[in-house]
Amino acid sequence: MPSSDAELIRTIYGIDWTAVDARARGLAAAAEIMSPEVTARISPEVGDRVLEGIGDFATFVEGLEEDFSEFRYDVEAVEETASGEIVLTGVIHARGRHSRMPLSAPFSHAWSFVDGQAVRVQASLSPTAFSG
Amino acid sequence: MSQENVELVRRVTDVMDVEGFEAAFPVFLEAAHSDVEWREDPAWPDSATYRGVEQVGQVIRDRMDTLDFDQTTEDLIPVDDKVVALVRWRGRGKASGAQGEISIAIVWTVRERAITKLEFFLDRAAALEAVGLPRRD
Repeated sequence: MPSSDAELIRTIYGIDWTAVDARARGLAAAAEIMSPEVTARISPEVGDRVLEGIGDFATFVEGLEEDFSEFRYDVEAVEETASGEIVLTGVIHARGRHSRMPLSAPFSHAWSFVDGQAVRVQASLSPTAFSG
Repeated sequence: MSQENVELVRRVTDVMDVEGFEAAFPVFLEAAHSDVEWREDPAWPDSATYRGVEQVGQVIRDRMDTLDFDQTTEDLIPVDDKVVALVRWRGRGKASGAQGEISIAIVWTVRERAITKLEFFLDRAAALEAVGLPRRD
């Protein structure tokens, strides 16, 4: 049976972050799940950048809407690698806003929970980056 | 002739691969016939066919603006007056930095040492079939 942390985190996946209503729901769900001081290290393959707090996360997803007409993290597997450590792997499905070109990429996200709140997330484009 | 066609296409794709689409644009225009045709895969949303360097130039500019695209050319296959380019495009968002990839095929038609048509196939196997080649795994 998946832990409550794993069930919680799944609620912010499968969302099209470029759609206004879906993004609003996603950000509301993220605010429930994430600690206000959450840090999110984006995939090293796309630059060494750390998002600090929910505000940076919201700015990041607003950038997705500028760039893409569709951007979705579709989860294929959820693994609890240790207590409070959840790894999700899957495929990003996206579409360029003006090119309309369908694009995809594998992703791996490692979430760390403390007392039911996400305090850290690390991302990678390598599906095995955080394998247990 | 097939090898000459490959060399002409390679002149453009080499610049696309190394310096990017913007740098390749004038090289492409120089190699293109004035009535060049740009035919997009029907599976590409809002796809259309454009004709002439002016229309083709405009569609290239229109489609590039929110993502930085990198291209890797994996193979150039000559077939009669065509060259099938198997390419991988990586698009990176200018605002978010998020990126994704797609592997496609572009069939270039070359006549009298000028590029007369580009046909885009989101499914590489369909491109190979279209020029009479067997599918590749």
